[in-house]
Amino acid sequence: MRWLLLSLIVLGVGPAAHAAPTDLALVSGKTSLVVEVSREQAERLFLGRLEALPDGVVINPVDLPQGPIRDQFYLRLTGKNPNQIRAYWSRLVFAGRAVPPKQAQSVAEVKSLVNKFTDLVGYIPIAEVDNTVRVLLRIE
Amino acid sequence: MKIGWVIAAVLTGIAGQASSAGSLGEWQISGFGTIAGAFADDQSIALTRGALNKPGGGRIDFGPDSIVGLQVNMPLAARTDFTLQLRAGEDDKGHVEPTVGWAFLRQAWTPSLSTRIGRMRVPFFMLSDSLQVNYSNPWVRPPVEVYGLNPFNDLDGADLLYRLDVWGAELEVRPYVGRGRVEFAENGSAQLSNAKGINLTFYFGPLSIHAGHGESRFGLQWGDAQFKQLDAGLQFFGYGNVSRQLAGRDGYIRFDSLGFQWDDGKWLVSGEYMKRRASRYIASNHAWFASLGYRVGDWTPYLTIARQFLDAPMVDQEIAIPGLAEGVRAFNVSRNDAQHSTALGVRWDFARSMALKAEYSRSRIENGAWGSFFPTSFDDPFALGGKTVNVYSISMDWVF
Repeated sequence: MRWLLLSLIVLGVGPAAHAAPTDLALVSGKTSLVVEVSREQAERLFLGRLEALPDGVVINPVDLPQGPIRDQFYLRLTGKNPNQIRAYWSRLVFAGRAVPPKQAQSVAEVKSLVNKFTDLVGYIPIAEVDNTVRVLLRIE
Repeated sequence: MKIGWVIAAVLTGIAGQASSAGSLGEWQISGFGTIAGAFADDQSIALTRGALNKPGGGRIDFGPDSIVGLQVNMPLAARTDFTLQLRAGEDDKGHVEPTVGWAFLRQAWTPSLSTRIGRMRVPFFMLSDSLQVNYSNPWVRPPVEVYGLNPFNDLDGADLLYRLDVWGAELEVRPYVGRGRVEFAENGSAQLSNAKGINLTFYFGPLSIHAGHGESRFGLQWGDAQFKQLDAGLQFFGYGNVSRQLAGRDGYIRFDSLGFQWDDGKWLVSGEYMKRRASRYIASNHAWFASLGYRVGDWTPYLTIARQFLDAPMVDQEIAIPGLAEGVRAFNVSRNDAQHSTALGVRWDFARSMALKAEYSRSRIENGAWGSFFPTSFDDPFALGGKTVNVYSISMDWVF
């Protein structure tokens, strides 16, 4: 019981933040094998139900930390609100169906990770797109 | 338990040496938990959930719903990984000890086909895989009328997951085989052997539809004094055939379930029908639930109705010896979970990955049954039938 309470304290409690909408881009690295992703494939990828593209190229998602950009991304791509997506992913993960997406600490880390790992696909604000990433989809 | 640690230790070694070109290769650690208290307004009974926790005698029982779980996913090769989940919740003796929930090796053969081997959850119903992850459900606890029908947690075996596109929807086909075992209080236990089944799940936008069938050889033993006394009496008076209906290793059990879930972001609607047919040792039943929830910001009020029916009691033979007949009747009653209930509750997603829930439920235990309750005294085993019980529950669920 004591460590149970302790784990709660360690977990911390952060209120949800809301921010103005930002246009987002789904991106892979410049040398990535992932060059084309449909909206439906992207949706399945971030819902843990797609592990490879039809041509066999392995694909994995990378998340931004919990926050407004991530919330907006999931809402627009999958139609699921933040509470809904967390409940959905918890079921998927603890039912042994999917591994939670790798999580980057920042937009800059997403850009660096998609270039380091050719299977990764992430999302960043359109305004942050530069010549180090390939835009696969616009999520508006 | 010990096996789980050995596997984990061996895999630690393997994972330490593995190198990966892909993004995977790191361990992913996640966890879930619930602290919950339930209070029944009738002090002569105690609440049970899935018949596995020790019935509480106190005013507020933390046993039925409280649980913590820790899960580690270890990539071993590009398409091979190992998942280990340890869980700790109250068992039938009132102890809290970690047990291995998941421990399986997964191999993805193609993008749409994978196999798993090891320990999994018995997947007889729609929500079986995430039954104890309360955060993923709107309620304090999944409807006991349906989910109490399967006392087994673990399936040691193998399954196959195949995803295909059908009519623009995704269909997941999941056949499985395995065996399982569960321990009860006072040296009782039940076994599933040669279990096999198949689950089909359709995903179509906010709608998912589940259909499942599972069957297994089934054994059940009781170790308590009342049972031994009853069994000895039956043997003595020549009712050996009745005795063989109460316990043994020659049962066969079948589960069928059909359910759906709808979640469009606002409305949360779900329902499931299930049927359990047992050749002996336990009753045959059918049950259903229907649930409706509506999200208003971080609040989700919900209403659930559920009912379990008795189709055939364990023993339906007339016993001529009065004292013995009473004993068999008490045995039947104590293994009859038929009841119906209405639950009204609210979930509050008060922080990221944390939810508070409060629920009021009103259960009516059918005549000749114990429902999802347990008497605190065995003086009159027939006293529960026909009762209406109010249960108040509060829970806090989290995941990380």
